[in-house]
Amino acid sequence: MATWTASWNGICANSASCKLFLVELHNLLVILEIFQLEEYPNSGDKVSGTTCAIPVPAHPPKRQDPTTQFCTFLDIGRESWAWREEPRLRRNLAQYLSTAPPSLEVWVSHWLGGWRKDILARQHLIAYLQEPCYWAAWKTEQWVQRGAGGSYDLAELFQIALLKTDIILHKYNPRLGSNLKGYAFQAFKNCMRDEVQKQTVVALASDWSLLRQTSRELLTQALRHHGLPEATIHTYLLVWQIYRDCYVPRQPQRVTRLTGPDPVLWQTISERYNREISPSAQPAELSQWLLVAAQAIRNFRPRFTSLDFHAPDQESLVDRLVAPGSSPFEQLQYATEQQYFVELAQVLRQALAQLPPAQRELLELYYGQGLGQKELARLLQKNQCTISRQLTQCRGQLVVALGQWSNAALHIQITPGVLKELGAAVDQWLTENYQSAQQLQEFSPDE
Amino acid sequence: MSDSASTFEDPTALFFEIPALLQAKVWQTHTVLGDSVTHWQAYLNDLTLQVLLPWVQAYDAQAQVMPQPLPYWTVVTGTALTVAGQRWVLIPAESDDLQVPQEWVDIPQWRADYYLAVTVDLAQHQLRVWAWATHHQLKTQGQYYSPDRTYSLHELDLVTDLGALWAVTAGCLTLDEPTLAPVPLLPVLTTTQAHSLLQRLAQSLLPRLEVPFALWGSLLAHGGWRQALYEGRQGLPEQWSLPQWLRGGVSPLGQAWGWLQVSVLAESRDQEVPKATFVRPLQILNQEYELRVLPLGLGWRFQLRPVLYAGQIPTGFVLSLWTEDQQSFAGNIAHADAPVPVLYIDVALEPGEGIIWQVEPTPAAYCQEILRF
Repeated sequence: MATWTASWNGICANSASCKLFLVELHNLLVILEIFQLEEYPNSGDKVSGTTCAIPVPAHPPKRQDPTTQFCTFLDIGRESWAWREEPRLRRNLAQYLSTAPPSLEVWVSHWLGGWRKDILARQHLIAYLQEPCYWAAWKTEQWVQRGAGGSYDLAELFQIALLKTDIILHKYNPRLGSNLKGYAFQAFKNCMRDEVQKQTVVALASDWSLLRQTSRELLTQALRHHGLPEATIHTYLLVWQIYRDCYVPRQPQRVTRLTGPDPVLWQTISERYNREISPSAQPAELSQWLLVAAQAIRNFRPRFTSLDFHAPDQESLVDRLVAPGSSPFEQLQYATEQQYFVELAQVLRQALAQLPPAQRELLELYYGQGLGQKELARLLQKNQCTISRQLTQCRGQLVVALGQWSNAALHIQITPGVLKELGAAVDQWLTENYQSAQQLQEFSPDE
Repeated sequence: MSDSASTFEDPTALFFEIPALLQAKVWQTHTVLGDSVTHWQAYLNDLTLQVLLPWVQAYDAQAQVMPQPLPYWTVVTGTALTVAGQRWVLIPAESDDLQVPQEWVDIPQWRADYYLAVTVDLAQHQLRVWAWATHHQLKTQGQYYSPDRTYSLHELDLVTDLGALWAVTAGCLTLDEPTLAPVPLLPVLTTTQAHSLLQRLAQSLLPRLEVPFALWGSLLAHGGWRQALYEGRQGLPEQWSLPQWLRGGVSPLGQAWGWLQVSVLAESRDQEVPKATFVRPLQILNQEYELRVLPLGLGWRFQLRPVLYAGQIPTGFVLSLWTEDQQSFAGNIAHADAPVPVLYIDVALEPGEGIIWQVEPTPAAYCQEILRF
């Protein structure tokens, strides 16, 4: 808390203090609002399968029982919600509850160690992260309604974000693991905002523009989602690649309103295509395929389905789930990790203290107040480029500090992969360091 | 309190605005480039460089762009820079994709320490640097996509954190893994091979995918042939023929590269009074020198001399001449074993023969050029 207070004083001394105070007040009110809503009288109905048709703004009650937190998934309908239990997870957990159940943190830490190979561990973690995902979706929906554009509703946002769980788990460093939920909340929110922005682009662009502005990764996913077989997807990707190489905007102002290649260019595209692959295809066919691809991109709204639970390549790797905390070694490891976290936080706190006050203020506003870069630019009367450059540099300095310490104290070799982890650790720590006490509490289990 | 849809919230990415004036100006600059694909490619590359250059120069005020970018801009996506002794390649794209053209990875001289993924959102006038990778990563973890000859990394392997890039470039953190991975040398093309490739690729819409990569890469790696490819595709007349320069003055491109024709008076004390002298200013180790090429009775003389009156060329400087396909020949090297007022080489040449000159230490912004005789 000391850091938070210090920053707060720093800000009040600043010229922008008045506006800031209002922003802060607003944020506090939002947080309080979430809190009250979270304690909605329905909290008795928390158990699986109950569908409650209640009007907005009802929120699903918090799951109290630790085991429920690892076995149930939120099912959000248009005007209702329900916690649904995955029997397989319940059975799995039940096996180990007969022995002395370790604390929630130890379970989480245990699964974080093995989720990549252990399909059940991954599912338990996804279940565990339902609340932060829900609240991130709710916040994003508010943001969308404030005029960010896009037409996503809460249920869709929730689905989209859950799909990103793997990336979030991948980035999260369990060795710092004080608060996975708090970290995931921020990360989910960023994913959703990103998605909303992409969707806005999709809505504005013509089919031919959309095809140029889509990444290969996204197109591949969209075509899969569209139900096309892999061989067809391969073909479409080839046509798309040729199209994107050959057909370019003739006026830079019209990048979103492209009308497609002319007959001469279609001939060229088809010649290139036919040189790469057989059977050959006529321009009209190629054009048709690309329009199908554009439609697939438009229809592609990632959905998290139970299919994702049973990724075939993971199924074979399922081992018998080992209960955590049973071996003294694991307890020791958990303790070591906690010690590591304490030291790491100390390194970062020192590095942070050495940053110039203006940079600390920037971090406080960004991570603490949750202001967007545009809002920051307006508040500090700088342009957004400057803000983003300064944020990058601040984080860079913390990465340097953490890197030097990891290298000197822990003999960790600095590679691009490690840098990625260090960057994520810095983000995670900044998020937690600046998050207000209320927000932290929001995602912590009641014990 | 309404955020526009274009707000980039990610603290790990770098955000830039594209000024409308700059956008229009860069577009205009390249309208002379014939076909639309070439125009677009040069436009996107140039615009990205113009927007990012001030940021790059904040890292290193002396940052250098790989010289004569237009010939490579028109055929490959990307711009190479030397920043604080390291090589960066900016890879612009219209979507959130990092697909690195094979040229930047597998041409040994073109490899870079860091590849930066840049998304150019023209509709919103925004540019975002959102990820980076090392050459080592691309070669060891990357996937190669043959239809487009690009390398890419899985989302989980890309470092989507520009703070981390800052840490290892501007900050004082050092990578414990090499940034570069070894790549095999490309075959050396003969002049005949190169000329036939140049002819074949002059009309092609996407020359980079037209011939096997080894041939294409070798052609492109050669500054003189890269320039010839560009000129051929633009339908320009011969620009580098010194006999032609003698008749009609230095060509427009020759002038653009710094060549001048000077008065012959300075040479009048020589026994043979030359008809004309072509001069190109050079900057070597922050000192001014000039390369002079002058016709002799039966051949040509190449001279390297300091600009300063009574200046000396320091010990260790080397002037060398090479055939068009970079082969040596008898007497092609002049070495300064002690400080000398001038280094020179006389050569007898066949009509139409091409010569590449080279100076060590390498002059600033040096790019191989083929002079024809």
